[in-house]
Amino acid sequence: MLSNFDAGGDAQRALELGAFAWLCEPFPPEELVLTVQRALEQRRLETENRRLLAAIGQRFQLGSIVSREPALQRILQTVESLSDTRATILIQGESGTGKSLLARTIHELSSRRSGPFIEVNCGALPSGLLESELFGHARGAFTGALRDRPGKFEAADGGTIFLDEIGVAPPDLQVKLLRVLQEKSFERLGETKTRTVDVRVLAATNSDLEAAVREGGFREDLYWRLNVVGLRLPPLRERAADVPLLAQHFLERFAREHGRLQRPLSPAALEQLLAHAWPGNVRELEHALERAVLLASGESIEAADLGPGLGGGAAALTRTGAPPGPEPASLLPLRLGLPLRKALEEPEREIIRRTLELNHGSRQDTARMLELNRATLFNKMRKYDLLSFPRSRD
Amino acid sequence: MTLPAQSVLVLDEDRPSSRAYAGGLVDIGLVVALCDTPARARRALRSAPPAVIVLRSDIFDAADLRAEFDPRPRRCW
Repeated sequence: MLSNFDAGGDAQRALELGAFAWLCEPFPPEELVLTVQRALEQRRLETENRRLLAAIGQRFQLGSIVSREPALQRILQTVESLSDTRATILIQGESGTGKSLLARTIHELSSRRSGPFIEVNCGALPSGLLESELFGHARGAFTGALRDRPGKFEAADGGTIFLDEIGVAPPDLQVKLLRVLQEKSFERLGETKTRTVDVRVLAATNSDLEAAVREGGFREDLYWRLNVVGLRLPPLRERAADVPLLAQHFLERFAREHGRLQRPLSPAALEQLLAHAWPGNVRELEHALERAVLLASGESIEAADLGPGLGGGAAALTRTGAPPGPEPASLLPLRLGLPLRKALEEPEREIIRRTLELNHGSRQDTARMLELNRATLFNKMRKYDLLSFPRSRD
Repeated sequence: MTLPAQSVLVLDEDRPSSRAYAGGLVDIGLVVALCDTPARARRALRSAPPAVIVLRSDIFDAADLRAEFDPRPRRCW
């Protein structure tokens, strides 16, 4: 803070407000340079100190993400240090690991947080519509385009766009995405006018994008443009120490949201949570605990309250050993000697069947857990003869 | 206005000495922006909070502008 005089204790007041230093004019210019350098150094040390404190603590929290696992804590520290840059980040991880939440956290920590955060699930739209959704269209660009419409990139101007399931982007759209990443410019469908936007791009995928690049399904140049910083969110089965922490978080949250008594987890229920393999990751845990909060009637949440996929039923998938009941021990039986597409059919059918079971037949919840749109789920259920699966709600 | 993390916002009248201060900071590799009105200062603070603020206290009200600062209690100014 500068002043050309110290009137009425301004210096004292400034320091009370938190000013780093007070300089009274006249002073040599190099004194200001030195003071600013010291302030920057103090800021750096404070940031480092917080990072170290978090590292030695058992729990690290960044936005809504909490973890005790060193692997995830390292990711969160990377996120914290990169959040206020323009770097494009590619988040990889299985369905339900929190990719979307992480993207939002990055936005909230950046200086763009007052700007929009626009999330687009590239897998939820047919490829023809996706281009229009992202880049907008001019009136008459295609049948049904009755008026000019801006796309999501324009909506995200000054903020962040999060492209979820980027791996499904068709080749022609990949070219357009590459251009907007390189030049920050694009044209709406059916329009020649070039538009420029100031948007930070975050992308996510649950597929192996590197493999897709090798197989020619995804452009290598786009992959490297997106993967300036690559983050891999670990599945919940690799975050065992986080299960009780997350469980407690969800129990508190859902008790508050549903106006229910906050019941503790019984030791048996906690044991069940720790033994489960969590194929649906944090999202599955979240659903299980929401159901438990709603259904529990005793003094504590028991294993049976966790639903048939966990404590109560035959379809539980356990982290170790065979699941109870008549189910086969392995979720993904390996069948060698078949074309890959054919070999994957049986595990895919089993995953869909068990997820339907886990969600009491709810196609909506199953589609959400598997991050499929409902039409895709319906088509797969038809393919695998699962349409007769009993529907308890939807 | 978009400022990177290692940036300094100088809030002062547009006068030779303030330009000299800004120049000295630019010379050591910092990104510096100079704002000469509270309205511009607010806009700059909202759009991209700098790492350090150099403020002329007899022209700008630090307490008033503080509301625009990042609520995270780690900013030095």
